[in-house]
Amino acid sequence: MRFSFTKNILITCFAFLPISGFAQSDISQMPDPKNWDMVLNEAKGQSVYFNAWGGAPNINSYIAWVSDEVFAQYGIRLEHVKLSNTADAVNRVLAEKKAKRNQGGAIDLVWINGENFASMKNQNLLLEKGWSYDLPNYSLADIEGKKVLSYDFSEPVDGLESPWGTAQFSFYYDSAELSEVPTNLDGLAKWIKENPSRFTYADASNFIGNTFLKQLALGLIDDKSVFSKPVEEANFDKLTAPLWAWLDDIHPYLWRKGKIFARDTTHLKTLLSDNEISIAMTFNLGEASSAIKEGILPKTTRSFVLDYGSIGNAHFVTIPFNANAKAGAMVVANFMLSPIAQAKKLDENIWGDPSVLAYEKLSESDKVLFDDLTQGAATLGAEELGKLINEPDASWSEAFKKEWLKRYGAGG
Amino acid sequence: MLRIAPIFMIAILIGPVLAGLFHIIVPAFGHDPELGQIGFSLQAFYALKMMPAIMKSIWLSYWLGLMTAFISLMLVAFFIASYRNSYWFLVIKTMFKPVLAMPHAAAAFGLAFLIMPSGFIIRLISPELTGFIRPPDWLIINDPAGFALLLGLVIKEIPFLLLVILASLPQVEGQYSRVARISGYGKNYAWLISVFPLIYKKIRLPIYALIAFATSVVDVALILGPATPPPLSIQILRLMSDPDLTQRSIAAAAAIVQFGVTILALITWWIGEKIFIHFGKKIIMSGFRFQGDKILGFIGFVGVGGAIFMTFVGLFLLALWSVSGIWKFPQVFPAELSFSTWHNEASQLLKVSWRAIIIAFFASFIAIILALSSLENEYQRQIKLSKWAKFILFLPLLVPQVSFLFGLFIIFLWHGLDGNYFSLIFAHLIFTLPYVYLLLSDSWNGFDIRYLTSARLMGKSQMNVFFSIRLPMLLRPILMAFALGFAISIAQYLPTLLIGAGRFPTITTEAVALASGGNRRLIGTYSLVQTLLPFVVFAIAALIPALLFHNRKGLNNE
Repeated sequence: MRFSFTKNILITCFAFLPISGFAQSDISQMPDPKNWDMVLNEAKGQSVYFNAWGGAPNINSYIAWVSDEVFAQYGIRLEHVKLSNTADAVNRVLAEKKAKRNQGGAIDLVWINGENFASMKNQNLLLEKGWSYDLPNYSLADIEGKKVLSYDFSEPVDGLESPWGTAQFSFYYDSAELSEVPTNLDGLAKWIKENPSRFTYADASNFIGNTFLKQLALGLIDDKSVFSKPVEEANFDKLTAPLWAWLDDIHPYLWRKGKIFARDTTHLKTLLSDNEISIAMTFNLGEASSAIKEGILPKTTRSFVLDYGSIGNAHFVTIPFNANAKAGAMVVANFMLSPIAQAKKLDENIWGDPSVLAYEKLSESDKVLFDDLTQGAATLGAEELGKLINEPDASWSEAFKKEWLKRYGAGG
Repeated sequence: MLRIAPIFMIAILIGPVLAGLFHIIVPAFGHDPELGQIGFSLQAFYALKMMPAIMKSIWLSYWLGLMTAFISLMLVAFFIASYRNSYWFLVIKTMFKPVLAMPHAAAAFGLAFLIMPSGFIIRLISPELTGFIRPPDWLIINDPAGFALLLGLVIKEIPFLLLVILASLPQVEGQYSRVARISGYGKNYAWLISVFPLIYKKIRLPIYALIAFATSVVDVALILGPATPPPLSIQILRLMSDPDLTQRSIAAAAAIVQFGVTILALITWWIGEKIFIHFGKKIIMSGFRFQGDKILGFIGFVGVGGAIFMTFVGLFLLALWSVSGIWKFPQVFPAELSFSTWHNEASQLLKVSWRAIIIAFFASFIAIILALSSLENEYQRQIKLSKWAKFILFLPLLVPQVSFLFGLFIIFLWHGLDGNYFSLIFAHLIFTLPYVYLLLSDSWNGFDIRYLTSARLMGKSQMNVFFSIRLPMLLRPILMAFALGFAISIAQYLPTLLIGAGRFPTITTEAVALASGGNRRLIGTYSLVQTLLPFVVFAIAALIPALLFHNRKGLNNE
C-alpha cells in the first residue's frame, strides 16, 4: 500500500508538470477601429468580460445599465467581473502571458488608471497598437481642455486606453456641525490639533491615502514641476521633508491617535457617517451628494477644496493584449464615451462622475442631456473647484508608499 | 473501483499542493523569465527582510496561530468536561451547527458590528450610561496587537472543535472518568485527566489544521486584524496585488516564509504537547486532587456559550444592517427600515447563490463518494492508513492557501483548464475532501463492525452489507459531513476567483468584492445569504434521518 502511495505521488506530479511548448503564439487579427463598421460586425454576439472594481453599488448599477444598452444596440453581452482590487486583473493578464496564452484571454476590458496602467504598458500587457484615438466618439472628448486625458499620472496614454471619467481631490463635512473649514494646510493642521481624533486619512497603500500625501507634498513646496519627472531624478528626501514634518506634527491628534488609519474612501465616508470623524476626503466630486441621496450622510453635508489647487486625474478603460473579444471591447469603450452614457454617469442619482466630453463639441440635442442635470448642494460648482494640479509621475506613488510605510507602517 | 479510490483521493490532495508550491518556489528564488529574471538568487528574500515591520507581521501570524488553537481548545475542553451530561450540553449541541455553517468573513463582520466603537454594545449603553453622543475614540477592532482578530478566530474555531470532539467522543467515552471519579477527583477534572488525553490523540490533525489556518488566515484578518503592519498573509496578498510587478517575486518569497511560519508554529505546538504531557503525567502521578472544578466549568461555559451567543448576535446585526435605513449613532436600532438593498440585489443574489450551490453540491458530493469508497476499501482489505497517509490527507489544510494557490493557478492556466465548472469543482474538492474524510473516518472507525460480521455470516455480500447495513446506519454522520463540505465550499474565495477566471462569481466572491466598498447594508445582505445557504443544508442534513428513521428507534438517537 505504501508503495502505491509513493507511485501515486510521482504520477500526480508528472501530471501537473507544465508543458510550455504547447501553447501557440499566433496573434489573432486585431480589429481596426478606423473601419468601424467591421468592428461593429465582429462585435455582434461577443461576450465582453469587463473587469472593474465592484465595491460601489451605484457604480455597479451604472455598469449594469451600460450592459443592457450595448446588448440592445450592438448585440454584445457585457459581463461585469467585480474585482475587490484592480491589480487582480493586472496579475491575471501577467499570469496568462507567462502561460503563453496569447489569445482567448479571460479579460476583455479593464477599468484602470495610474500605476496599474503604467505597469501594464511597461510589461507589454496591453493591445499593442493604439486604438482609442480612432474610436468614433473620441472626437467628442475634451482633449484640449483636459490634459489628464492624454497623460495618465504623467504616463502618455498613446491610444492604449480610452477615457471614461475624471476625478478631483476634495474634502467634505457636515455643515451643521462645522461652521468654518480650513482652506490651507496651516489652517488644516491647526484645525486637526484643536479637534483631536476628528480627522484621519487612508493608509498610503490605498490610492486616496497616497493622493492625500501627494496633495500635501504639492502644497508644501513652491516649484511643483519637480514632481512631473520620475522620482529617481529628484531629491526625494529633500523634496518630501516638509511633508513628513507636517504629518509628524499632526499624527498624535488623528483619529485613534494615528495608530491605525482608514482603509479607503468608503471607510472614510462610513467614519463620517458614524460621526467618528468630522472631515472626510474623496476623489469623486459627486460622492457626498450621492451619499446624501442614499441616506448615508446628512443633508447638510458640504464639500471644499484647499486654496492652492487640487490633484486631479482621469480614469480609463483598456484592452489586454490577449483579449478574447477585442472588437466587442472597443464597441463598449466607444459607447462609454457617448454623450448619453457620459450624461447618465454624471447624474448624481446614478453615479455623479464627471464627464470627459467637451460640451462645445456636442450636438444641440446632446447638450440638452447635460443641461437637464441638476447638481446636489454638496457638489462643488465649476467656479468653486479651484485650480487643477496634475498627478506627479507614476513612480512617485510607490516612493510615497514605501517611505510612509517605513515611518508609520508599524503603528505610528 | 474501490481499490483506486484511495489513490485517486491522495492524488487530488497532494498533486495540486506540491505542484502549486513548486511554482511559488521558482520565482521566489529569482527565476522569472517574464519579468526578465533568470537564474538563482536570494534577492527576493533580502528585499522581504528590508520591508518595514515585516518581523512584526511574521510574529503576528505565529502568535495568532498558536493562541487561537490554545484558547479555543482549552475552552472547549473545559466546557465538555463540566457540562457533557447536562441540559446545557444539549443546547450547545443544537446551537453550534448554524455557527459552524457561518462563513468566517460573515462571522467577522457580525463581530465587528457588535464590538466596534460605533457598534451595538456601545450603542446599547449610550448615551445613558456613557454620555457618548459620538462613538468613543477607542482602538477596539484592527488593534495593532491583533486581539480583535484573535477573538474573531477563537469564536469561529470553537464550533469546529466541538464538531470534531463530538465526532470522536463516542469512541473513547468509557468507564475511565468514573474510575477517576471514584478515586476522589472532582468530576470535571477527572474527565480532563482521563478521557480528554484520549480524545486529544484523535483530534490532533484537526488541531494542526486549525493552527495552519489561523497562522495564514486572510478574510478575517482583513476585517478584524491589524493593518499597520498586517499579519504576513495579508502582506503577501498586498504584494501579489501591487501594480509594481517586480514585487511579485518578493510576494513569492513571502509565501515561502509564510509556509515556514506555519511549520514553526506547528513545531512549537508539538514541543508544547511534549512538555505538557511530561508535566501532566507528573501531576497526575502525584495524585494531586484539583479543587477548582467549578472554575473550570465557569471558564468553559462563559467561553463556549459566549462565543456562540456573540455569533448569533452578530448574525442578527447583519440582518438588521441589511434592512436598515438611516441608522445614526447612538441609536440602538435603525430609525427606519428599508428593503431596498434586498430588492435591488435580488436577481444578482439568486444568480450567484445558485452557482455557489451547484459548485458546493458537487464538491461535497464527490468528496463523500471518494471518502466512503476509500474507507470501505480500508475495511474490506483490512488496511490501516499509515500516519504518513493521514498526514498527506491533511496537506492541503496544513500548507497555507496563499502559499500554493497562486502556483496552482499558473498550472491551470498553462493547460487552459481555468474558467470552467469542472476545474472549479476540482479546486474546491482539494479543500472539502480532507474535512469530509476526517469527519467520516471517525464515525467509520467508531462503528461496531459486529453488525457487518453478522450480516456477512448470514450470507450477504460485501457490497450488500455496505449498502443495506453500514450506509443507513451511518447516514447521519454522512449527511453531516456533506453539510460541512458544502459549507467549506461555499466559503472558498481565492480558489473561486483564480480558477474560475473571474467568470464564475459566487455568493462569496461577490460578497468580498462588495465588501471592499464597505457598504454595511450590502455586507449585511450578502453575509446573511452566505450564512443561510450552508445553514439550510445543515438543517436538511439533520432532518432527513429523522424523517427516514421515524419508525426506527435504534437509529434515532445521535
